[in-house]
Amino acid sequence: MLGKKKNSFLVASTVFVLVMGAVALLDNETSSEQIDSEHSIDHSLVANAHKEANTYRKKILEKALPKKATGSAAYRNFVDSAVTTDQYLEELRIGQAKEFLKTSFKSLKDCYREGCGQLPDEDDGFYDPALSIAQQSLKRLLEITARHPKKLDLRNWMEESELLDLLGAENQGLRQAAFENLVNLKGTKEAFQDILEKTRELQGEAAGDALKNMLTFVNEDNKQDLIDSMALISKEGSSATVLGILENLSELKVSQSQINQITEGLCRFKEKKSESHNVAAMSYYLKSMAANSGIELEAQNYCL
Amino acid sequence: MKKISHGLIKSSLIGLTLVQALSSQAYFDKQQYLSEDTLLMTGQTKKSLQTDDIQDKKSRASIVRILDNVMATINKSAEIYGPIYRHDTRNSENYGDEIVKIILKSAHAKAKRYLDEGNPQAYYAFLALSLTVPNQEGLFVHFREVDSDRDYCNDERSTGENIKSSKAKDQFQAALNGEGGKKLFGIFNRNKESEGFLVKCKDLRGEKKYRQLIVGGSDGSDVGMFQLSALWHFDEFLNKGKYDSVKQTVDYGLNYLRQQFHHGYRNAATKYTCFLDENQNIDYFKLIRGSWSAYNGGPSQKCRFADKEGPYAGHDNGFKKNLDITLNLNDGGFFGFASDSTLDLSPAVRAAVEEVVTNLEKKTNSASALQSLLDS
Repeated sequence: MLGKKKNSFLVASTVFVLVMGAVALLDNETSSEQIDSEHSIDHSLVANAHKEANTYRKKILEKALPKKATGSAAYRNFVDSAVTTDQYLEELRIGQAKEFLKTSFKSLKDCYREGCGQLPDEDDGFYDPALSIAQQSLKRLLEITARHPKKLDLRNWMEESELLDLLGAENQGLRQAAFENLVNLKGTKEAFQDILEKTRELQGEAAGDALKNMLTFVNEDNKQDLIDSMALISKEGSSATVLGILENLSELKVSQSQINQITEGLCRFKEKKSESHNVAAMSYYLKSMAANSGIELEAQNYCL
Repeated sequence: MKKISHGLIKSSLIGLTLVQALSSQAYFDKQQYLSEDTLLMTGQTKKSLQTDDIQDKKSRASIVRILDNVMATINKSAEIYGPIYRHDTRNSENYGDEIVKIILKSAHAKAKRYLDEGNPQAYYAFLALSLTVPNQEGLFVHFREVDSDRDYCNDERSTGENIKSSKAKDQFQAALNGEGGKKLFGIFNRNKESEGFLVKCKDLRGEKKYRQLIVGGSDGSDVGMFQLSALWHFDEFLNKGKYDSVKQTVDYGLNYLRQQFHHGYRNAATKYTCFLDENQNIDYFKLIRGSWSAYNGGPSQKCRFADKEGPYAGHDNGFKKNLDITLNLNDGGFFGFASDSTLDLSPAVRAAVEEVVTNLEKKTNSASALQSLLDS
């Protein structure tokens, strides 16, 4: 299986090399300094790893991105891991950067869940979607756009639904960057409701991160909406998802009725022996929440 | 014309590099470095070697021979932080104590929540895992110092020439030396070669000592005591230069390990029933093994250890051997890579690691020595 994959990959990469050669011939921005910077030898561990990571990152990205996106300075800056997200827009034409980021976002968001062509390591089969080139690239892209939403004219090309989808990505930094872009795009009030609704579909730590990020926007007007979402997840979500939320929200100040509302749906876990460790954890976080709120957990409503 | 020739050369060079990388089957497995004798020693005969058996001269050097194949040499001007392994003086320098303290303090910070949640066994399971993985991955070594003897740093060693597996050799050279690249690309190198964290032996002429960093892995780009891949762990580890610090490397490695442990722990009832015993309780020894399977193979591989016929069963069996070394600590067992290269621990630190294992096995929570270590 691995042999067949390797053979087809060899063929594909040979074609890729020929195409790259054609790109190199047509690339008007190629300069002697650029060739030197690509191929100069640096014995530094970081520089060699930069080069290898850049090569590998380029390989994956060039599978996922349209050809027009990979020939620009905006692309080269993007794949150069020595260029930080703060530095990215420096010395770039905004129009070119915007076009590259927009095209790349549209391509990567459609394939990131499958890795955009990245395969597991041959020797030990290692593969972590959170660490994949696709998700790390999306994270980097969204960190750039979060810093310059107006300059990059986000409102005219980034869709809220696309960002909401990314709240469920495996990469925590990507989830965080998606959240920040959502708030930039929609404003806190509108983003709050949309994210709250999305949270009901999220799982595990993704659900916890989404609600944790919203804590800064919680007030007495919208807190009940948050509690309603938590209560729904308590009734329907997995223990891992419930705990992903409770771990992050144990400092939320709630009323007696609100904590009763949250705990009501958790009795179902007590029946399963295999969940006993999670039940103990739920009990701990709920007690913390109650203590922080200055209330008691009522025995008849608290079945953990 | 100039542009065309540059383009042609550029594309052919890239093609050659790609073909070289793709056709090479370098596979660097630490287990391949262990001879049959060494494997036997670490797994099966450790009890007999705990007595006053005469040390075999060849076996005494085993860790040194293994390390010699996986160490890259550090620039004399580079700053490094943390304990340095010097084989002959490792015990007089209390290397074992220093490493254990760094590991347990970092592990405690990441696992303390399990104590808060009322589950000390999960806490001690993570601590035991934390004491095992750096042995499994990096033989408890991150930095090493050796005399500037040509046996420790010569062109063949620096380029991985003595690595047994040809695949491992090719990958090592590509990642750390660029030797192949230099021959092909040298004509374009108009920039002065800059010095970096790792250098070749010729850059250390006149030095009395070599400081080295452990570098290995299947593609030659796994760095440090936790063998963190430059491809997968580049952004938050390698790119941020954390490899220059033992503590930062341990922190990063244990953080990634904890993610696997925690996800398996929370989802044992639903997604990872391979962690449950016949009574539907969590078997923490299985959770430890599965956490390493995921560390090694990716998050979806948590139950890989349970597949005794699988392609990676050897990996998981190797880890189990090192886990057995950890679990033997409260039964007079040695601490370290092998019984011929033990790391002595002071009574206080020894008591702390024994508490970890005892508490895990007996489901207790008596931690006076451990608390003293954490407070130190």
